[in-house]
Amino acid sequence: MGRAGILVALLLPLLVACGNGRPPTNGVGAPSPAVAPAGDRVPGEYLVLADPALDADALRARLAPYTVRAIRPLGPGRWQVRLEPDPGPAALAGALPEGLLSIQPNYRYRTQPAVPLRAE
Amino acid sequence: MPRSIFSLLCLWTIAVLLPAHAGVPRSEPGQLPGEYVPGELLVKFRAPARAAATVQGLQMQTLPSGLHRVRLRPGETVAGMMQALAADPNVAHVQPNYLYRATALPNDPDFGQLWGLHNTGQTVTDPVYGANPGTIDRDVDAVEAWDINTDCRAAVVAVLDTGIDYTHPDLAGNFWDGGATWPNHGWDFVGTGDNDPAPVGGGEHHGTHVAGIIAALGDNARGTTGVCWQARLMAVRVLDAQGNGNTADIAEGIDFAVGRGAKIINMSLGAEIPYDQFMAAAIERARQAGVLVVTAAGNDGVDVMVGSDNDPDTKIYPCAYPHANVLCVAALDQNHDLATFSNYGTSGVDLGAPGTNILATLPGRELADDFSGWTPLPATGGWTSLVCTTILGTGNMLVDPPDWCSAGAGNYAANADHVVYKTFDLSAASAAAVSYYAFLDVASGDGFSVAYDPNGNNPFAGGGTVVLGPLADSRLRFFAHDLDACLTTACALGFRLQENGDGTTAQGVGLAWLRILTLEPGSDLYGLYNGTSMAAPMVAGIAALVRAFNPDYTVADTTTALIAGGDPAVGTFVGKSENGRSANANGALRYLAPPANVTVSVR
Repeated sequence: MGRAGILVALLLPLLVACGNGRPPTNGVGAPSPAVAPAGDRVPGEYLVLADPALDADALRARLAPYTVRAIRPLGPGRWQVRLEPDPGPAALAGALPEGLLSIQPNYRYRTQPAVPLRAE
Repeated sequence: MPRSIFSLLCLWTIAVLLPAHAGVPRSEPGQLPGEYVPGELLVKFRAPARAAATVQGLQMQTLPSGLHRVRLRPGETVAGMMQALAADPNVAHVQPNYLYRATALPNDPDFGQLWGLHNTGQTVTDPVYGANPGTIDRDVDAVEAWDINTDCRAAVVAVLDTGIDYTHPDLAGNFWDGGATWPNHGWDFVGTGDNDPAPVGGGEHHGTHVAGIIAALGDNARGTTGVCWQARLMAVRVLDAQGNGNTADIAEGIDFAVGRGAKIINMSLGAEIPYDQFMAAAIERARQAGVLVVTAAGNDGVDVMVGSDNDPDTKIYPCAYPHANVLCVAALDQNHDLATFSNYGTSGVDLGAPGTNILATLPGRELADDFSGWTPLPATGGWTSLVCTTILGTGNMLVDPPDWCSAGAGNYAANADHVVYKTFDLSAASAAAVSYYAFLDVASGDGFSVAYDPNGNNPFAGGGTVVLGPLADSRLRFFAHDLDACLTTACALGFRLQENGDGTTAQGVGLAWLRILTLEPGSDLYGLYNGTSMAAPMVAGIAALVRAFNPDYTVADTTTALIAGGDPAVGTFVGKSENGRSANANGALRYLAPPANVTVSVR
């Protein structure tokens, strides 16, 4: 087996994970990393749906167990927060503080061309 | 079929088949409406045997259908003779020989490449996908649709994507007027945000391509045409130069578009994630405002409801949302088979649309390097350019050691300090980026490095800028680096492999698929892409045609017309979508919703 063959064998699982292991499409393109890995998210950033009556200070107080580095309003009852250190989604998945309707990661989305337009 | 309809069909057929050079329309006394061949009439006689007597010596030709073409004498007018013949009891029908013309095609010079709009079985030049040429008429029937409508300006289309070059000469003029508040036709939600949704990175081509599929100016004697010839595109930058975005920015973008009157949102983006409640809420707000969201199915060749990570909690979103205003689009090739990369799903995927070898506007150039003309240092024994086969396919690569591709290849040399570089003219660009795949197997302590020098010198000899490394790694990686500080006539890009002197080496480095992408705002540039990213805007454009033509249409009316007016799925797309349909602009425009609450009794 040539080096390329060995590399193929070694890297196949990686390629499958990254882009479904498909060969490139007729000259341009390569295994597409188009879809973000499961649960791919912006580290430390969370989106909160809350009682619209809640203001930023009240939200910060509700999240007191964590260090809130930034709060940004995104609309009535909608907030983007940055927590440092990042507690991780699992830690936040428990009972919600009063006035908070949901808290979730700020997920990553990507373009959907079948050509490599992005880097790691 | 009623006889009168049959007669009209016959007459139409004859008229269409008659030679176009038969005459030139001109004015004459008693001019009748429409354009017709001067001095000719088409006549249907009740008793054909008495036809000659009826026309009293006029020259006459019996047509295969049994109708007669009658030529008038000099001085006789079509209107006058029609009146005379109509009064004859032997004449069942008489009419001018109307002129018909071929359906108007746009005069854009690259229209012939746009198989997705009009598939003539053409071969797309420099294709990036197989199935080329494909099957005639496997397209969205845009030409037929354009007989009904080309103008989408009554339905603003928001493109939530990377930046869009709104100065592109084949796009400028087709943008939403945001007035003084949004002077650049939209908003940039990436990072701190600003009012300029133009691309900022060299590799940021995606949004401009998507915009051109929807609405490159049509019939303007330039480049390509979009599905819409005229439009009002809203540019909403929610993805960065690498094509990445996040829930918060995209949700804000949706709210921006909805709040400023968009009727259709195109989102050629996706992620395999758990249910994104925040994004779902934004799409629901769009639904309540009557806004259709067209989105890409994704390119992993998987079912959108299953995904590729074997995690039952994740799906491909936004496709997997159940909202009635979400239309998810798979990519079809030139035969209307499902593109090999396209996601699919009997639940979740609503339509298929052309998504391979799609030519559209670009904000800059894409320079595909073939690895020729590189300068290796030393000249031998280190970096070498050759054709090699890997999992990426067969193509030119840049490798070190020179036998990297061979069976039984050795490691790179101990004490190696191997450099290779090449100069590129990037002086026309306002930004540039290089991307490539690197098969890395570099021993711990050794290093793979990347650098550039704007003055064309060896970028590792001093004066250059190292953008990566030294890196020791053992896997396939995909890299992209900004070259914004190298926009000169001789930008030298270089790679280096160094051994640290401990004598431990590894299999080395293979580089493939090197591309330099530039931004050249305002330039008249185009390129081919594959992807469900390209299929979604086909449908968004059709939705705009439909909604602009029927301003009272709701989201439900529009989606019904798109689906019910579509073509039945063929080939490998059969059984891969919820509705078994591929998009058809003509069918969607001609689709008539059945009347509601009407009872019909048949006797």
